[in-house]
Amino acid sequence: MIKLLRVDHRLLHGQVAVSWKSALDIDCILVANDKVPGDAFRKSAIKMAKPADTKLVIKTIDDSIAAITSGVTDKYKLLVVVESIADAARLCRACGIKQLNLGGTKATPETRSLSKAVNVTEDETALLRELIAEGVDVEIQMVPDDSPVKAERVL
Amino acid sequence: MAHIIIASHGGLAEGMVDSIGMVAGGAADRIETYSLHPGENPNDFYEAMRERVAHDSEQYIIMCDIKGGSVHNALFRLTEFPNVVVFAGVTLAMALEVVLTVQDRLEPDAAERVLDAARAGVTVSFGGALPTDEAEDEEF
Repeated sequence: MIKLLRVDHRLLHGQVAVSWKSALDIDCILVANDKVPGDAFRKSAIKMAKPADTKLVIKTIDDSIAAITSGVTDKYKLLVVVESIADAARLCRACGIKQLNLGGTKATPETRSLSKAVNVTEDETALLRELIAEGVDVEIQMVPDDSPVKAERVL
Repeated sequence: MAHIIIASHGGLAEGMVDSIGMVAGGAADRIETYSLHPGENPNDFYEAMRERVAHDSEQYIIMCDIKGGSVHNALFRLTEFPNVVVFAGVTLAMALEVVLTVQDRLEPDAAERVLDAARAGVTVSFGGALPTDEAEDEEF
């Protein structure tokens, strides 16, 4: 089962992985991204961030959707990490995921800040509103120790 | 809950708590720091800590910056008390492992795991070579 679907522009990195792993008793991490599977250096770096005694699977978004909907991931306590809100929306819609964690998105001149670590463009704001309207519970929370904030309160 | 202290020459201790806060959020709030500044003697901090740990049943976990430095030399002597654990050579990986896993007490076997995490976190990679992918890609 999916314990957490997380948006983090830095994908899987060091102790953030460790802190969520221990907070949610995660035993498998899926990095769902269309570029990483073909990038040896990024893949290598992500593998370095893998917590001990955790399985790490790296797949494209389509392959991730196929794996989740096929049921092969059901036996795991799964953390799914994606890079962008758009990638998260694809997974939410294709797999019927009703909970989304916003961990971190980069600030650019086109974004406004929803929290210290979460920044969204106008398109992403609209997309998040759509997801919320479709029944997805969207929460902003960088690390388990922070209190979660409902996205609709700050959108 | 166990007390956690990072002790350093200069501002490393405060800087490390700042960095831990970025990774682990509010979990960093429980860490105390000691910074030795020029003209100070770490034995003064040792004396103050001696008073504290002698009158407290809680465990004190102290992570010093460098083995054999004056801070470590002074604070190591606190291990005369059974409720004190002193590490040397603190790294961000070590401190995070302690902060995220230790609640009331750090036992010796768990301390070994902390050292393993710290050692595993020290690596070197040379540029100019393709990453050696020692681990195969995992599948579900």
